[in-house]
Amino acid sequence: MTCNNIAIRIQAILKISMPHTHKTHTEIADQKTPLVCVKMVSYEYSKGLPVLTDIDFDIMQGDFIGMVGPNGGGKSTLLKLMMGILPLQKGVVTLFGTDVRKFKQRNLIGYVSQKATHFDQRFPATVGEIVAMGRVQTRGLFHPLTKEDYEISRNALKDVGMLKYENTPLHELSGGQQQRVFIARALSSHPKLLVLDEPTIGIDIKAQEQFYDLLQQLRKEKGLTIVLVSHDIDVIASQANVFACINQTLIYHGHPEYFVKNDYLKKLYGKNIRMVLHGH
Amino acid sequence: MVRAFIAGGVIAVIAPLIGTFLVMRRFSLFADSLAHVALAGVAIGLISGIYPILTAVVTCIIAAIVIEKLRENQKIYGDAALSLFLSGSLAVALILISFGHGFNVNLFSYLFGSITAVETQDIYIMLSLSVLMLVFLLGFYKELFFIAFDEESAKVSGLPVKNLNLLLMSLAAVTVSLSMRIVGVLLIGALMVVPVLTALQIAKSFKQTMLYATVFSLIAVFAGLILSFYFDVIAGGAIVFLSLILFICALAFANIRSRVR
Repeated sequence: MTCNNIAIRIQAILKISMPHTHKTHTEIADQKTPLVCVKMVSYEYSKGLPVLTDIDFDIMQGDFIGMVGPNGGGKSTLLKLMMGILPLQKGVVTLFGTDVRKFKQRNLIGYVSQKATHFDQRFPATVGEIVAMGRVQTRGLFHPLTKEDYEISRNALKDVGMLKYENTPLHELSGGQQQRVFIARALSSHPKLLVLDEPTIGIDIKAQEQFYDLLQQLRKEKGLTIVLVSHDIDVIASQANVFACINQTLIYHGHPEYFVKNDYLKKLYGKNIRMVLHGH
Repeated sequence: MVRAFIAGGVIAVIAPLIGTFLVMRRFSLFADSLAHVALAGVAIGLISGIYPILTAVVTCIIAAIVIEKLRENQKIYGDAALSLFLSGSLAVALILISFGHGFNVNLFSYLFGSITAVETQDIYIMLSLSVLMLVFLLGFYKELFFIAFDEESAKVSGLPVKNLNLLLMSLAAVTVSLSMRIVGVLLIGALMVVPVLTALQIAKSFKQTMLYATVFSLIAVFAGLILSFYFDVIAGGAIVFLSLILFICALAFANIRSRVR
């Protein structure tokens, strides 16, 4: 498929999905301070080989921002810098107005890592035990979890439709079900920002659809801001209201529709690209 | 004999509790490496006249911290770092003991355990250190569990992962040092690991794993001590041998159960 065909396809998807989606970030009332500020962030894993150069953008409350780009382009690295997993080299990241290095209110961020479903399958933990981990930081060091914590975890499981599996060992569930459990874990700290790094890898198409439906539902019900890293532009275009396209630099940041209209796909991936689109 | 059972009971409880975290983090060999370091620590104690368990504890904690730093910096493969310490500390121990004029009964009792040599003073030290360890282990249970399952997410959620890792390693170091008198340096690793592997065959949750591991460990230790008293068998050998029997039984049971389903 050529770039133009892809562009037409994405536009078609956007036109179909536009009515019930998402306000653009200019339409949201509560637009005062950005939730996340990334200012001129650069990073290199080894000298002379930059992975990210001068990344600069804000995430506003209520956004569903899809971070897309080719593998190796720096998306996951940027996410790790934003979460404080990797130490910053150049630039500044602020979370909820505070420098990431000093940011303490970690319960405001719910994180579903790329490796979430790639845990050791023999780890003998039940769904309930895993979700309760989301309450660990809130409860504080050296305090056992309380009945209230377990109640909150159970509610998070209910929100993702997995309550009946509370006592099931995690490895007995399918990939899609496990992913829901990890979302529940991220939700149980009552976050304002939900961050997901390639959450649908290894999950079948049907489960993926259910996954995105769940995300939209949670976003509406809980007023969550969502950051989702994915290589799946096709799907993200119909879900997100903001695109951030990363291939070492920030190639594009704005509404998916303008991304398509202005041929950014070429800039993101280079001229001779071929894309495989799923049949949905 | 009573002292042996008290000491054995204490070790039987704390070894698998720490062991569960070590096994799930793929640090099973860590216990063995620390055991060899403990031997070097004992040698230092024997030569200097300081209480050997104490020197063992200190040496083990230092080694645990160094190993953890090496693991963090990823300059050396995890298992290679352990191998370094395993052989390095054994070499140090042998040199020190040679200075102490040859191999003697003391060394033997630390290599293979010597429950008959456990004195009341030892019991008090073991009990107090073990209670302290249980306080830390149970107090930080939820944090240690989180890190064992998903270290990266634990970091994102704001847990002081580095310090908690050091805590876990230090708890392992103390466990190893305390266990030396019962099962000996060469078999401590087994006592921390085998009951956990046994529990993993049948447990359905992490808490169950820790509980079953403790039960299996207690059975092996008490039965092993009884065997060793009545049949004049070295206690360490009897205990670990029984642990292995239990493991084989649990494995068979798990296989049968999965076939029946």
